[in-house]
Order: sequence, then C-alpha cells, then structure tokens
Amino acid sequence: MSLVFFPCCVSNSFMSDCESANRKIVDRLGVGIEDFGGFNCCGYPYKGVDFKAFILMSGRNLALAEKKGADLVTTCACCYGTIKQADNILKQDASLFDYVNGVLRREGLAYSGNGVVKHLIEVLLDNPGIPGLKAKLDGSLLGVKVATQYGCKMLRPSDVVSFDSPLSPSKFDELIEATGAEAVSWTQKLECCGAPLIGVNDATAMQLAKNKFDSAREAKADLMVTACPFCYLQFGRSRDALSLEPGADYIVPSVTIVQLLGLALGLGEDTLGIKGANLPARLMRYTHSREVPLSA
Amino acid sequence: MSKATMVYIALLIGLAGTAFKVSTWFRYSLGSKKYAVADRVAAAVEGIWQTLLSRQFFTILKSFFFDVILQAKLKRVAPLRWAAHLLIFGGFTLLLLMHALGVYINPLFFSNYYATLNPFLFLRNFFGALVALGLLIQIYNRFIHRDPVNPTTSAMDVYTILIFVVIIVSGIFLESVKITSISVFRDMTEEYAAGEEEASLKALEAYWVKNYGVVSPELSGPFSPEMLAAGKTTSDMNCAQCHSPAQWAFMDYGAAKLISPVAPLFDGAPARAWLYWIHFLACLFGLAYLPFSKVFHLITAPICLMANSVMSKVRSDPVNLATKQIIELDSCTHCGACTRNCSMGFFHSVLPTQMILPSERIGALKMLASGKPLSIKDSLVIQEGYNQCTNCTQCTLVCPVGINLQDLWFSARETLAERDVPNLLVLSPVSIHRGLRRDEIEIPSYAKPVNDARKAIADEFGSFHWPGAAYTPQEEKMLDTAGVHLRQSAGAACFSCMTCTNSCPVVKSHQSPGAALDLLPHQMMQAVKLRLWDLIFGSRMLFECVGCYQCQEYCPMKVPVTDLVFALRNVAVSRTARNISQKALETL
Repeated sequence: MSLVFFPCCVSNSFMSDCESANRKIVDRLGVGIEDFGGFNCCGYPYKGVDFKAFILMSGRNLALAEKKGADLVTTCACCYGTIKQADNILKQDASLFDYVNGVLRREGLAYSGNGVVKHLIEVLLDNPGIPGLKAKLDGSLLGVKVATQYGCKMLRPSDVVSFDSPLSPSKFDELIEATGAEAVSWTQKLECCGAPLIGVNDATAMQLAKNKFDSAREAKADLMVTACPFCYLQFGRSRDALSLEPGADYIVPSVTIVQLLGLALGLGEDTLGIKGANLPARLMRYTHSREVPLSA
Repeated sequence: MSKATMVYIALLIGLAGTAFKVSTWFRYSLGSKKYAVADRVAAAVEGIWQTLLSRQFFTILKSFFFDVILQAKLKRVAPLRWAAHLLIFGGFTLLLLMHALGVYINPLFFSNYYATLNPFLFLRNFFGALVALGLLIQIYNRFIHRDPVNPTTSAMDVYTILIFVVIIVSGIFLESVKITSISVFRDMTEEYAAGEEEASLKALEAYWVKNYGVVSPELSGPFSPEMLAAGKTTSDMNCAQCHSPAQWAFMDYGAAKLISPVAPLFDGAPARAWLYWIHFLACLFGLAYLPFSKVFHLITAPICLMANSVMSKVRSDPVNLATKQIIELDSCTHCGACTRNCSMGFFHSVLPTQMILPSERIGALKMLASGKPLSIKDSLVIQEGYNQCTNCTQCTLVCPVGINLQDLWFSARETLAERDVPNLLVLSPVSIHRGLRRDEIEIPSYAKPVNDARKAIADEFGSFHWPGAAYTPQEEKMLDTAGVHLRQSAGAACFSCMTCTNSCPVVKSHQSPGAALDLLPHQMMQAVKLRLWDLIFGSRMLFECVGCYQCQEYCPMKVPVTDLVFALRNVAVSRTARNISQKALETL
C-alpha cells in the first residue's frame, strides 16, 4: 500500500518550516510518501460545533485516500485521532455514511470504508523499523533524556484509536530510543497539553501546560518531544509566557517528533524551524548539524 | 474639444481616482487595532525610506524582476493564465508605446517612422494579435473552463475583458474599413498621384484592388497581367514608399477580406469616424476608470508583490502591515486561484453561500474595511462563510498577486467580532488560531467574542426548564449519530463513582473546580439523567472540556462521557445559532 502525506492546517499556518522538513526526513529515511494537494481539514475543530461537517470533512479525506489507493500519513495526533474516529462512526452509522457519500458524489468521489490513516510514528516503526532506524540514525542523540508527549488523540478513546496501550504506551518511546535518546517516565505523560482551550480559556490552557513542564522537569527530562503540532505550539506559547514569570528556570524545551528526527539526521535548525528554541547544549553536542551554529 | 484635451481630462480623472484610492489605503482598516491616518502615512514613508536604503532594496529588485515582470508565481499556479496575462500585458504595453504614443516614441528610436510602413505596420498587428490571443485564453478561462469549484463572474470581470475586446476589435475593424475604402484610395491618389493619366490611375486602382484589398464599385477582377503590371509601375512610383503591402497587417487585411462583400456600406467618412471614436473613447474610458476597475491591479499588484517580498510579521511595523492589507484588497483581480485551490471549496455544495469561497469574500472585506454599516443578516452571512475556513493557508500560497489572504481572514474575523452578532465557533478549537495570534489583537477585543458566545448560549437555555422541549427529533438524531445513546447508556449506567471527575485535567487545574466549572463531569452525567438542560447548557464545564477522553477511557461503566459532551455542545450551538439568525431575520 502506498502512502500519502496528509497536511495539518495548524502546522501549515504556524510551523511551515517543520511541515516542509517532513519531506526531507522521510526521504532520508527511505520512506516513500507522496504529496497531494487536494485534502481538506480533518474536521477536528468542528466536532463540537457541527458534527455532520466534521464527519463529512474526514470522510472526504478518507475517500480521496481510497481513490488514490494510499494510506494517509499525518504528523498530527489530532488529525490522526479525528479521522480514525470519523471512520469508526461512518462504519457504524448507515445514515451518516449515506449522507457523506451523497455529498461526495457531487464531485465524483465515493467512500467505501477502506481508508486508513497512520501517524508517522506508526509508519516509521513499520518501515524502516527500529533496527533500520537505529542503523540510519546512528544513535546520535545518545544520552539525551526525552519526555514523550503522545497527545490525547493518539491514545484515546482506545477502542477507536488502538494505536497503543492507553495506560502505558511505549511505541513512541521506542521510536525515540532508536535515536539514542532515553525516554524518561513522567507523571504527566498521558495528560492533555491544554491546546484545545487556547483562545477559549487561556488561563486553564496555561495551567495544563505548566503541569506538564513541572512534571518533565521533575523527571529530569532535557526535552519534551510531541507527536502533535497542537501540543508543540501550546508548549512554545506557554513557555514564552511562563518564562516571564519570576524564577522561571525550569522550563523544559520542546520539539516535535519530526524536528527531533531532523536533528538526529543532521538537518539544520533553520530547516526544521526551531531556531531560537533554546535546546540544551548537550543535545546539540550529539547532532551532526555542526555546519549550522546552534544556539545553546 | 480637441483630442489632446480629452486625453488630459481622462488622465486627470484617472489620477484623481488613483489619489482617492491611495487615500483609502491609509483611511480604511481591518482588525481590532486602529491607527491614526497621520501615523499610518508617517510609518509608510519611514518604512519605504528605510527599506530602500537597506540591503532589502535588492530583494525588492529581485521581486520586481521575477514576481512582477515575469509573474513567476502565476506561472507556477496557473500556466495558462500566466501565458494569457503575459500576452495581454506585453502586447498592450507595446501597442501603447508604439501605436497610441507612437508619434512621440517611435521617432526617438527609428529614423523612418511611418505607421503604414513595415516593420510598424506588421508590428501593430502582431502586438494586437498577442493581446487578442491572450483575451481568447482569458475568455476560455473565465467562461468555458470549469474546475470543481469556480469563482463567480462579476460585472467587473466582464467589464475588464470587454474593454480590451472593444479596443482591439474596434481598432482592427477601423483599419479593415480603411483598407477596403475606395474613397480613401481616391483621396490618396488625388493627393499623391495627381499627375498620372486616367489610364494609369485605373491600372493603379486595379492593382490595389488585386493586392491591397481595396473594394472598388467599378472594378473587379480578374484583371489582365498587362493592366496589373502597369498598375504596379504607378504604385511603385507613387505609393510604395509609404505603403508596405497590406497583407503584412495580417489581422486588418484578414478582416478586410471578411467585410469586402459589404465594404461599400462602410465606405465614407462617418463610418470611419464612428469606429475611430469608439476606439479612441474606449481607450480614454479605460484610462479614466482604471482606478475603480480591477485593471488597477496594474499599480497595486506590483506594490503588493514587492512589499510582501520584504515585509513580515516579525520584521515590519504593525501599522504598515495594516496599510498593506488595504492595498492587498485593491490588488485582488478576482482570478479565482484561491477558490479553485480552497481546501473547503467542496463545502460550497453543502452550504451554498458564496462567502465560503475566498475569492468571493474580498468584496465583503472591502465593505468591512471601509467601515460601512452592515445589516445583522449580512454580518451573519459573512460570518457563516468565514466559519468554514480552517486556516489551512492554501489560498495564500497560490495567490498570484501575493496577497496574504490568511492574514486578511484573520483581520476580517476580528472586525466581524466587534459587531454585535455572537459567533459560536469561537468556543471550538478554531479559536486556537486566534489564541496563538493574541498579540495582534487589542486586549479588550480579545475576550469579547468568547464572552459573547457564552452569554448567547446561557441566555438561550437560561429559561429552559421543561424537559419535554429539550430536543427536536433532528437533534435527538444528531446525538444518536454521535454514537451516544443518551438515555439508555449515559443515563442508565452512570452511578456517580466520580472516576470521570477525578481523571479530568481541567477539574484538576482548578483550586475550587465546582465554583469555576459549575458542573463537574459526574454531575453533568447526573444532570443528563435528570434532563436538567438549563444546568448543562449554562455550565462552564460544557465548553471548558479539552476533549482528552480520559473520563471516557477510564469510566467503569463505559459511559461515553467525552462524546456526550461533544454531542451536547452540538445541540447547544445549533439551537443558539438558530435563535441568533431568527432574531436577525426579525430585525429586518
């Protein structure tokens, strides 16, 4: 089965560098993923506002993937969970299924229920797999302590997503460890980052992020790595605000899984869109990207 | 009134219009931040001055060459449109220089300028043909070619094509009438071949009928070779110095052949005068009306492209970014590249409002920017369209004139939020976009939309005590399709063990969650059981849930708590939205 990139709107808007680094990373890892410009938003924002619109939006993406004969690959946990859930609902609800197909028919599309969405983590674990990754990444991030941020929709609802164990997930950690980094155990691993409340209740959103930072620091993590751009943006934004508070020396830096793999592959921080992310010097020491001076 | 006076009047109107348009760049604004006109002018002058003196000047030069002259972006997005644009722009510019202003410009470069001599005779037709070909492609693009989603065709789109068609066609037609005209021929012979004998004049006329497309009432072929030879001798002696063969004017000559059967009808000064005035006045009208037509992009698009090559949110003065947005509105050519590439374009078949389509929003945006009053209904219609935009940036990436549409939508949403029509979508994760760009919003304006939306929902359900009226069959169906069988599952199975509440990160983030959230998750389940809708829909918990699914994951009774919250939100939003639009209709 071939693979096609499913772009995330939020990544496109706020981290276009990182989005374009996807291509370089999968090419270097030898994973064939096509690009396609015709997808729409996964529908995540509409779930609580216009349920039918949410199902239709995901359904259209699934139909497009089905037509191309390719699995959707996303780097966003929210896109991932949303499309999976919509697919699940479509398979159970005949009337919604008919509704979606009725709309899709107008543009010559149809969904028959065979669409598949995968997170990049899943794709990489499958091919090149842990041994292949270890060979290609050369253990270059040796000794860096990483707190893995799966993202809610990677794990829950587990009967719909079934990516990993909802209580003690490990797949993301295994991928991280293939870079030579060490995945630490931290109390807030399964918790929400607070991103869905950005712009709705910023105080609560900030508090949720703060809990995460505290826990990562307690676990002595050098870095938080997210599987979702929402978490990444939420951490970045909260870090900026929290670092203005007195005694804010505890704020753990964060990167996305794409950026971490990029660092492990020696891509520059400009390419990855992490310039000025204040990554720790000890992380940088192990990367190949010496040709680009990195701020410690 | 002399023709020169008319040209100056048209030019003056055009310049006055341009001055008016330029003034709107500093007077109109979008977004919640407002700046004084004087500050905006000062900031623009300072910004331009500083940029021109810095290394960025070279970036602008590069952008002028690649983006403006070569239209690199348009080539990437729509090669056919690019070809048409280049043909029209190139052809028309050359016609302007070598034909309209030919008397002044050509002698500067050529010693032997005569409009009826080659290469000028041929070139005029060649440039005209370039424009005509470009126009044909544009007509195909606009009226025949269909994409899955298409922009509408406005009166302005038709005008723009029409004004060029009128200018080109009237020009060709005028020339073809002149070619066929026997009276023009006789006037010329009287002037330049007066000394010739009757017989040689006749031979000349035969020669011109045969070779130059003149239509004579007395003479028609076939002519004898001797006569033609005699005609050629006379022509060479008297005419050829100033007349290249008419065939070189291939379009005019072709048109002359087409009209030759009816040519006598057009022979005579009045017909030629009519055609001339149509041609001349169409050009002047185009010039005078230019600032108000979309041909104005001739001025604004280069500004927009070059400004965007050096301006960015990080580098530039926000005052100048605000001004740039208004210039961008004037740069839009309604080409529809954004709409054809809009990732939500397909949704137009579900919600048939034009406001979904990015190219169609620009008009409404101009209205918002000018600060004109909008009816509640108009505001709702615009809002409805904007609500389907997911900020995927696709439109910005493809805009051939480099408009940062993404930023325009952002500003427009803020402008709309200032009007008193609550937008319930701000309670969804769409607000993440807004939250991440909080710095660009005035502090008092930031909280307003969320507060308005919450209040609208609380008001809607505040007096809602009779449970029987809670759901319409449609809404019940919506809840069912969410996979939530409200009464059977949630109501029956929950025994208030509080696992949901204890696992909720939002609850944990508050010191006194009960007071902050009104209902805790397990209380909400109980409220559903008791059908206390006013409690649920008025509670803060409903829209503070992050949707992390921990409650649902850990519930020992498999109550789909999170899905239920989403379903309840749907009902709250759809009911309140319906009420808002009902009120809007009542105020009409």
